[in-house]
Amino acid sequence: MRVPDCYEYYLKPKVISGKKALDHIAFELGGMNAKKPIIITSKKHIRTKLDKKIITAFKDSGLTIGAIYDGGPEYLDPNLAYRLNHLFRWHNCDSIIALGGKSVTEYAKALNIFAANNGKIDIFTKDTDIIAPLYPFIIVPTMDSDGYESTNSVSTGGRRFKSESLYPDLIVIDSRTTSTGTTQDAIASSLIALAHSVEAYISNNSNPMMKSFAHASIQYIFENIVKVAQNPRDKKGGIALVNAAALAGSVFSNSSSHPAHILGTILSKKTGNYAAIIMGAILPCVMELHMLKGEFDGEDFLLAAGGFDMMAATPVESHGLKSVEIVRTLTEKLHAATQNFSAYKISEYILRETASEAASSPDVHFTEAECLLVLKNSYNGTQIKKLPAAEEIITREKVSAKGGRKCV
Amino acid sequence: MNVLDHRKKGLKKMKEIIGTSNRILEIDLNTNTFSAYSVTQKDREMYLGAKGLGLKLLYDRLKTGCDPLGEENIIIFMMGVLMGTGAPCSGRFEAITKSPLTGIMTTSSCGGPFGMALKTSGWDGVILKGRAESKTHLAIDAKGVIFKPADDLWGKNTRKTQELLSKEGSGSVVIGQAGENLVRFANICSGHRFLGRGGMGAVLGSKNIKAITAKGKEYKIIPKNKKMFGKAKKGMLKYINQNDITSGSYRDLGTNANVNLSNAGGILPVKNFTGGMHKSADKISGEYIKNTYDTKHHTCKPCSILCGHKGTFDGEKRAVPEYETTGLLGANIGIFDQIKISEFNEICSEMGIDTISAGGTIAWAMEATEKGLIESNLFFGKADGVGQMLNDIATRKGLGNELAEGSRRASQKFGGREYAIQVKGLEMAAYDPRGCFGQGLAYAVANRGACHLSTSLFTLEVYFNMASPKAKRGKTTMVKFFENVYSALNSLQICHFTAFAVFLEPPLIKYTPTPLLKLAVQNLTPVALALMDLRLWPALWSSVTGIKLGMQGFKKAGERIHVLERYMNTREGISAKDDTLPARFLEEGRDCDNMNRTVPLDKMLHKYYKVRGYNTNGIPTDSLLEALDIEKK
Repeated sequence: MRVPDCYEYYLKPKVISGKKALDHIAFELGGMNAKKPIIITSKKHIRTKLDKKIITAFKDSGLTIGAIYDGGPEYLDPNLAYRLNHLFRWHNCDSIIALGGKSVTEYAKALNIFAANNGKIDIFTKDTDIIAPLYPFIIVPTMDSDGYESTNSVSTGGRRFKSESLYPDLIVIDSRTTSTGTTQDAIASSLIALAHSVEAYISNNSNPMMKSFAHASIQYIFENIVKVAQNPRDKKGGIALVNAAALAGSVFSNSSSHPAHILGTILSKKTGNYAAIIMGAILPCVMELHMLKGEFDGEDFLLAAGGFDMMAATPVESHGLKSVEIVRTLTEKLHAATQNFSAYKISEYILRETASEAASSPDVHFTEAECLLVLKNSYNGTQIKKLPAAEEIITREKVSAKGGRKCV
Repeated sequence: MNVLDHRKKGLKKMKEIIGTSNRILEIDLNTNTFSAYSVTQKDREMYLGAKGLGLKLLYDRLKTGCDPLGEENIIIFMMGVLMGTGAPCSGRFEAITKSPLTGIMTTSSCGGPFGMALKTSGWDGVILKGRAESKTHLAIDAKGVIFKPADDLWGKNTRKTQELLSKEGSGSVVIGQAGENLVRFANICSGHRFLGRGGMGAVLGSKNIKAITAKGKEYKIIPKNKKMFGKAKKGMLKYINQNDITSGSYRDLGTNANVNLSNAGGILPVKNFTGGMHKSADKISGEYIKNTYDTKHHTCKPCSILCGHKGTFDGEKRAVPEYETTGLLGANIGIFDQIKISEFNEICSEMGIDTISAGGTIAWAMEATEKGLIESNLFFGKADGVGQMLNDIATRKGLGNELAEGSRRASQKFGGREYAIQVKGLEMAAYDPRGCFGQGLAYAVANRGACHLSTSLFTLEVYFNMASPKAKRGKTTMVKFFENVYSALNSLQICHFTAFAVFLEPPLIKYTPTPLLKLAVQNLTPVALALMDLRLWPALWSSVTGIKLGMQGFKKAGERIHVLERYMNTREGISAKDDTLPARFLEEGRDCDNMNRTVPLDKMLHKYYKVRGYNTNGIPTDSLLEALDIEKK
């Protein structure tokens, strides 16, 4: 691996993973001068009694849990953030624990921003800087965690708000909280984590630190996802996958390019279909496109995903193709042997709209034609064999406000 | 009087069409050519006309997955066989296309002069394909169509456009600026009526078509069996004239007669469907409008119900807004002043915007502003800013450009999806489903989106008290039954409101005490519905076409039409995940309901699929398609 001339990698959260990891929370909070956390979770996790596991962990600590919040809509809005802030202040809380996946952590991050700035900050309609230092923030990911929890961003309404302050201070991964999910949770979260890790691996600002974490994440996923999908109660497998997700979140935050993530998220919003399935189908095509552009040769990737034996048995010039093949095989196995999402019957004009929107994102370094190529091939489950021609433009008709029409 | 005398008097002797001309004008805008198409007898029998036949024609031609605003989309205007015959309330026609708002099939029914003009020009329908190279006005007469430039019409509102075209023919359909600017819920205007839902105006705009005029008065339509027709017509008129709604409240007060009923029943939409009742509802009711604004009839021809009215608002003569407008651009945004509501109605009428989608989208914007997701000058209870925003939507300026995409797309971009009150992208009509669970199921599964006209179950559940509004029992059967019947009704075609007369006036229903009726409808639903006497409708159709159609055949045709539309939608990606309601109705209670009830959709949905013959993912099965003789494509 070539060492770049210069690179940056921001690595913040402390991670405690393993048996009885939850028991460390009280001690860690003490180290952050916090005594009264609020726990943000969801009804799903209350039903599986995960909150009780944390409460039990506090038993002999001398600390008090200030409040537990388990409500909220799937999407974060300012009203919810204000209500959480009110709850936080009413109970004199001084730290936040998020128990669950992405939506739970979004509430927790938004609460942290509001609480630390006494409600006087608008992250829903304005691009703004976080002014005050945030409260100590711990996440306890569960099987439905896809790694987004451990990133430096939060989505507020239609905006994505990024700041290094938003990284959690501590990630606690305990088999008691990682083995209560379902097969669907395991598959969905792992597909998303895989997409994030692979994208970070092949991104154009990839560096040794990023590749190391991505490598570990990819390896954990390949080694464990199939058996956890068959048995979600598998403790070792579950903890490995949640570790993989946390690693994926870290590399996602540092990587500059997320085409599979962006395309999958936009298309999922437009059609109401699962983002994880779409991302899983898009990922091999993204890899193929990078290969055709000479940006990915698969060497180290194959070691992570296939192991040493596979890497050794594959000719060097075929590493890239083999890498794509094993990702395709894995994603096929996971979503009921479909390697594409044509079953969703998405119209081509929606794919074109998605490509257009994604290409305008700073996190996508593909042209609109390339985005459309990825979408079409992933939709049909076909391989990308050649790049779009350099002069190729998307023929699209624009309508001016006055009602004229021109072809672009 | 002989032919010469007619000419001397300047009168032209009209040629006759017995039954139906069976000529459909198929226009290719790419090549500026046209041809006449005729349907087979089998298709006529299976799909009746108007909506049914229009859907079948679209099914045979439309490429699945095409862009609704692209060249490949097709829009069809279809008349029913009753148009032009003088049958009561038959002055309505249907338009069918792929909606730019929802991405699936949309059908819309409309009154106004265009239907009669086209039918009496000798055409049963118009199929528009491709895209005109420049702004175009289509002038139709018995010989075909002339492609005329529309540069002088483009940019003009619907009223002005129709004025300018008044000499071209006896009826036209036109779009306003909203259609020109591809506003996703732009409508098409015919006289003072609209093809409202689904953004059909944008489809015409995307084809560079500003207007279609039909000369009219070249043919008269004669039923094949005049005796049978006369009898059926007489029977229908009798029912219409004795029914409390068609000859009473709607004739007297218009559809705003619904306001007090909805308010009392807790289904009036208030503040983006957060409430179901309001103390000021009376100020926007039909009764108040009649007493305050000097209303007079202003209605489609030939109409026997006369629900349309005009009034004097703030010194100006304006159309009285329909109930949906009063609900969505009134109560739902906190406005209880009909002067303001009628002003908003006028803007929507002139610019060519669907008032239901406009109201629903503006309500979303108000709540998003309140919750800090967007910045705007739109606030519940404040009329200021609403008129300007409607203009901005039509002209796609500023925030109006975002709202012109509809509440679903706006909320996908800005957040607040849980209070974008839409299903499949179509904004919901003015009946809160937490007060009528059957209507809730109907909204979730209706083919074109959150449509109240697919079943109008709220009337049975709340207005007539013939079914318990908060019970689930029997609702799946009711939804299926009324979906089938209304699909057939819109294929005859005849006004939806004749259903009040036909359902309620036959002696069995009229003279059975309501509690007993309710007991039967609720607990013996299939039996009660089977006993409903719907014979007048198929009798009218049979008398015009000469083709035998009984009540069972009528209902079966309706089922076929409904399932065909569903099947076409599933080919565009619709499945069980889309048959849902906004989170507000599934998770939030209301103050007006002390039990804070939400719609128990999950308990009804899969039973509905079973009753319908769909699989567990909501897709019509092969055996169902075969049983209905729908060719799978």
